Amino acid sequence: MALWVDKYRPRELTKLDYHKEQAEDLRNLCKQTDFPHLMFYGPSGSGKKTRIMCLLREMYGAGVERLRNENMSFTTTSGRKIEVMTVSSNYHLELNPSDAGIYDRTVVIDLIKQVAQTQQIDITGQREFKVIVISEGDELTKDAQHALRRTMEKYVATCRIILSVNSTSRIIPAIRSRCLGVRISAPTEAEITTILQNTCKREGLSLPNELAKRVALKSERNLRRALLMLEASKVQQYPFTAQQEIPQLDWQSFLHETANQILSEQTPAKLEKIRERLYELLAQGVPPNLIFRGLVQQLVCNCDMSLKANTLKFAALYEHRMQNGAKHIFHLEAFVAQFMNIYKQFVSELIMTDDF
Amino acid sequence: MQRGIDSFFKRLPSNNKKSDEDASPAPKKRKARVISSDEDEIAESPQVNKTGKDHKKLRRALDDTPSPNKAPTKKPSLSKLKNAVPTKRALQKVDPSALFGGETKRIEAQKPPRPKDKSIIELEDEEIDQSLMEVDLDESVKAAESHQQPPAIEISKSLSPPPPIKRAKRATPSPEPPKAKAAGRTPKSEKPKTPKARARASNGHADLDTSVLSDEERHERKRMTAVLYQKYKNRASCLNPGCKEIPKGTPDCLKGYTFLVTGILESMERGEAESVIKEYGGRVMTVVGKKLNYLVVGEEAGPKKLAQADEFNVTVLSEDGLFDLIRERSGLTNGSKNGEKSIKKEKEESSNKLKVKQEKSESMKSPRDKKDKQKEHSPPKAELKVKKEKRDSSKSPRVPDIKEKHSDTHISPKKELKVEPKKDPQRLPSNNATNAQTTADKLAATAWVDKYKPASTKEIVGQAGAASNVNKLLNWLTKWYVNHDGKKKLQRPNPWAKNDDGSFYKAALLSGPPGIGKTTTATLVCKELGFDTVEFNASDTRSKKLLKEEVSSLLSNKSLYGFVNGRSQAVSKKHVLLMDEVDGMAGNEDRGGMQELIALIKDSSVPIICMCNDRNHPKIRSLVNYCYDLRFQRPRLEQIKGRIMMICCREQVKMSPAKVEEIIAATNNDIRQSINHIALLSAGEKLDLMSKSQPTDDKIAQKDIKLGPWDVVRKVFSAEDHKHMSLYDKCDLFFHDYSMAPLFVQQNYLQVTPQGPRKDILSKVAATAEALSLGDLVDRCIRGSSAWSLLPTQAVFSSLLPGEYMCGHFTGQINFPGWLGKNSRSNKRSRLAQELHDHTRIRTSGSRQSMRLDYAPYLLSNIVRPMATYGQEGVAAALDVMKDYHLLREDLDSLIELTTWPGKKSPMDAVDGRVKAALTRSYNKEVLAYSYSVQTNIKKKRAEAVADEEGMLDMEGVDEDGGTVGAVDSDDEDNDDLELDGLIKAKKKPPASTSKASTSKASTSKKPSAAASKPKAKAKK
Repeated sequence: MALWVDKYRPRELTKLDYHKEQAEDLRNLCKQTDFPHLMFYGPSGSGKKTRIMCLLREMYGAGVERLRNENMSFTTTSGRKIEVMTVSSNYHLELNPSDAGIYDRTVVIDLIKQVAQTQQIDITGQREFKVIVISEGDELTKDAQHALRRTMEKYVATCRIILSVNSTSRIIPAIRSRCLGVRISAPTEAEITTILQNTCKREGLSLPNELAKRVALKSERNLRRALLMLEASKVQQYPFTAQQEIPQLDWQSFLHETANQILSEQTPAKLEKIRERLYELLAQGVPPNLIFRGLVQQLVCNCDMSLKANTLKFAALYEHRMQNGAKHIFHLEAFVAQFMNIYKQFVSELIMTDDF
Repeated sequence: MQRGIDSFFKRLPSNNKKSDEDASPAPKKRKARVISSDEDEIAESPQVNKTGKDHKKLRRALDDTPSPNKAPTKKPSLSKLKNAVPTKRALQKVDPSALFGGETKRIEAQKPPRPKDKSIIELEDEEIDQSLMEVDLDESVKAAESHQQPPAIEISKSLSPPPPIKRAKRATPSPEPPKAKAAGRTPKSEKPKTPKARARASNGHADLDTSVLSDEERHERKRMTAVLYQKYKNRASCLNPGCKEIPKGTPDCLKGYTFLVTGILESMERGEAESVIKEYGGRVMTVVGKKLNYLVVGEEAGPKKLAQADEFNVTVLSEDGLFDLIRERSGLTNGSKNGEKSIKKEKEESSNKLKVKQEKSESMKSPRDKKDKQKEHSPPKAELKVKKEKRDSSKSPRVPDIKEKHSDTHISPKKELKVEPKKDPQRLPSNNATNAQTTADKLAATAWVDKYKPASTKEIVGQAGAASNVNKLLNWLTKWYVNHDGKKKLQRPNPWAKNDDGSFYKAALLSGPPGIGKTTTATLVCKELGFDTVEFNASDTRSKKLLKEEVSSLLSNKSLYGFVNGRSQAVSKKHVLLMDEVDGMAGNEDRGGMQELIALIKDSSVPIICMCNDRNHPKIRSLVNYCYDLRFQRPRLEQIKGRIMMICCREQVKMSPAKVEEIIAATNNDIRQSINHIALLSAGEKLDLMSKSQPTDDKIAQKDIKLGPWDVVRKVFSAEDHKHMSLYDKCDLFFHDYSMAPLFVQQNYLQVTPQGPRKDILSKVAATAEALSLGDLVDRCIRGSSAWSLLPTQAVFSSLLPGEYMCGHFTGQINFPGWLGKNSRSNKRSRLAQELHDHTRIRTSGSRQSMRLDYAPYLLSNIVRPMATYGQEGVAAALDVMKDYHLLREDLDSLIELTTWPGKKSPMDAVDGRVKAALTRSYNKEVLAYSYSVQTNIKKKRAEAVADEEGMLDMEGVDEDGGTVGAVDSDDEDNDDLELDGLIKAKKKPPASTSKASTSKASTSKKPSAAASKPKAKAKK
């Protein structure tokens, strides 16, 4: 009884719901004997991983789906033991080097090289190369990426690497140029709506189109989120009504509430409370850039045009600093403090002018 | 010396004229006293004085002609001086009638030489010097002056430093001894004095000045005493307890007199002094009044009392004066006392001569005069010093020769020094100093720490109280042989019992930080009880083998020490094993040493004293069970200060009390280190002639104080502190702890209320946050690329700028940075999320982040919902989901943690406990282990097995105590987990059996563990 997301995930390239043209291209790619390194990029929830799995299935057949978990351990140069969990089939290995944190370079050097060096034993396999899928490739440090580039060239006879990344901006050009980039753009809202409808049909439910649209809108073109939301709505209330409330994720509502608190009061004491909330969000693993985005969106809705520009300016400034800095909270807090300051000034000026 | 003499000369011209007028001016108390003593002197021994003073007078007359600044080298030759002596004395004699007339009068007469008048009568001046000398003699040698004494002093005084003259002097002494002989003493007696004098030579010139009393100095001194008085309350203990012998007088020798004790006496507590007075029939008062006869003053006497005493013309006595009074009143003459001893020691003899002289003079005097004389003692230090100095400088060149003689005639000077205090305790007050100085040559090489090592247990700083460790140890050691003669069956004391005398234990463990006198305590206590010590410290190898062979044989041996030294008790059987620095027993060298030591303690036939710094060190912990635990605390600052000030005084180092305090605080109340610091400082200061101004010193000292982060952050924002701080000072704040400072500032800047209008607060806050954010960038840069040279930059952004923006005061309390805790929490959660992601990866497609943000809540609700709604029936559905996603049972818990938000109820709360248990049960039944689950399970089982082993031990302990066996396992949360339980039970048996076997064996090595388990069981109970 898996979640709908996983239950109705397409397993073949032909069955994909959108980007069908691209799927066709991928199928053609598989028909050739040669096969380049690939880099799937696109936002979260757009179907990168699904496509990668479909591709692998296209290449190796259903055997790819017999997955197993494997714990691989190795020692770093400093003598520290590190374990990395991998998912593998007979034909491919999927791993996430960034699990090892700053030691991802060692993962790349030791593990990937080791796998890449060995020949494919299974002769019945259609291909003479294995595939290594690196998920969250943009989390790789620069060092690890540099370590990867040579491996990609040297062992091209025995293995192919498929990177799954959110954005190519954090991939070094050397890797980018070695891969065939495959962009998976997020599905449009219309596409999501139809997928939602299809899913409900397969579940034997009737979904008002209105609600499907609302869910699609709210999901921010994240198909995974849309499906999860739909399922949650179904749990909350079925049969569906067009105007029923779509449950919001906890962290989203928390963030929302935080923004509202910033608007409600601008004092140092309040700032301290906001700081606590920001800490909480960070501790929950909400990425700080998402926090920035959530805050700005909410704040901008509630202020005057002149303030909007400044708010965005500050947000950009501090988000940039945050990327270069060490402690996220410092910059988030600085942004909040700056916003409070300009907001309060604006309000007090407004009161002054009202008085006259 | 030079200076002193110069000033002496300078004053001369005017003095002659004013000598008569001087009697009238208003009284200045301290001075008055000083002078009065002088006059006593004169009165006591008119003939002698005459000669002496006349002598001086003449000398001055001679000196008048040359320029006042004349260097001492140009002073009249010795022969001249000698001739001069008689004339001077004659002059002095002018006012004896007044002197004899009565106390009051005399005091007035003495008042004239006020320091403010630059023109002090020559006569008076002379007298002062002399009186000072006499006081010194009195205090240091503690004897009455002999007839020979004054000339000797004169000579010493007149003797000028330059070598040629000294040679001349060397020649002169030979005629003197005959005089001494005339007084019935051996010629030797003269000699020992010189070393003393020489030793004093080392004393600074500055003291001379103070006694001659320039205006500022006197003010300074007053100020100092005032400061000291503030500290008075804290100064509970006397400087040198027990260093003087309290004379035994006739029972009622003080009858009819009233006394008041003020200040800190050198050798007694105030209470002690009062009881002594009462014992001899005196009355002790609390307020200075007309009825009061004597005011006994010690150091840091109450100024008000002194003033009042002066007003009422109360005689002021020093401690020595009190003793002298007792002796005198009870008819005991010092001379006779000392006479007995005189043969013993040359040095003493010289003093004895003095005493004899005094005795004689005293016999001529009324007791009152004597009392007057005592007055001199009240402002003791300065005068003492002056006197010393004079003698020193004059005689210093002679010393080596004398020393040689000294050592010839005696066994060894060093030994003499050691024995001295015991044999002649009377002498002690400054006599420690004299002792020290006599052998200055030797001691010059020894560190002050050793030089001023306590000689008796009473002198140990901070161990004066009845419940002090010293007394406890003393008590324990004296009773040791009685307690451990094998007949008594001793009960192990309750560890929480307060007043345990440690009779159960065969060993004592002295623990405490370094430099507070543990070793000193141990050795002194042993010494005082007449135990011989065998010491092993960290410099000796103390392995098991060695301890076994050497020590155990040693302990059964008899010490020959006493035999060799010809003591009465030929062979002592009483010895103590001192194991110093037991926490230093480490490494391969001392392998097994601790166990052997414990074994040794168990069947030792002698007391063992162990010493260590850290009582809670794992190595020591096993030892603690066998030792009488004596914990040494650091002495309080005031207690150390007293000692340090005393050393400063003896070493003639001028140091303000505040600075001494600073040093002590800086060393964290470590006596040894403090003394070392003082020694170092004094070495530096001697070079500088103390010309350095106080403020710079203070500043330097201040900088060395290390602040904690709380103090730092307070200073960063406090507007008041900013006033005296430069930019650099503010930046320095950051460097007290540069890794914590930014966090502290960030955590607490919102608690500050900045100065300025309220409406600006937010903009200040924003500016601060901006600076902090920049500081974080710098921090990243520093740590990311090891660019440590950027630290000052970070100091500006992370500490200085916030401090400037938010300069004001704290309104809230300063908190520990929350970032650390929050950071570790978010790390933990991301670890959990990663685990979860790893496990579900086969089934899901998202990244770790989407797993956390999107999946987790839905996944959890999918698992929990069926259980919450259908109870037991829902378990299957929940389990289905878990199986589908390859989740472990523990993953459910991490899911719950990952989805909890403050103020939101955990979804699991809705689920009944039994349903949860059912889930666990069925999970364990149905779900096959995953590759990752195996490991975690093994780990968990191992941990539980260990825990259970402990539990088993506990139960055993309870058994032994006759209690009921508690169901230790019943509170286990996973008690439904039959499979696991089974595993544990299988594992349980072996450890239990082994531990039982070990206890039954009762082998010595295993005993500790069994014993250790016992208390644990009790605690659990």
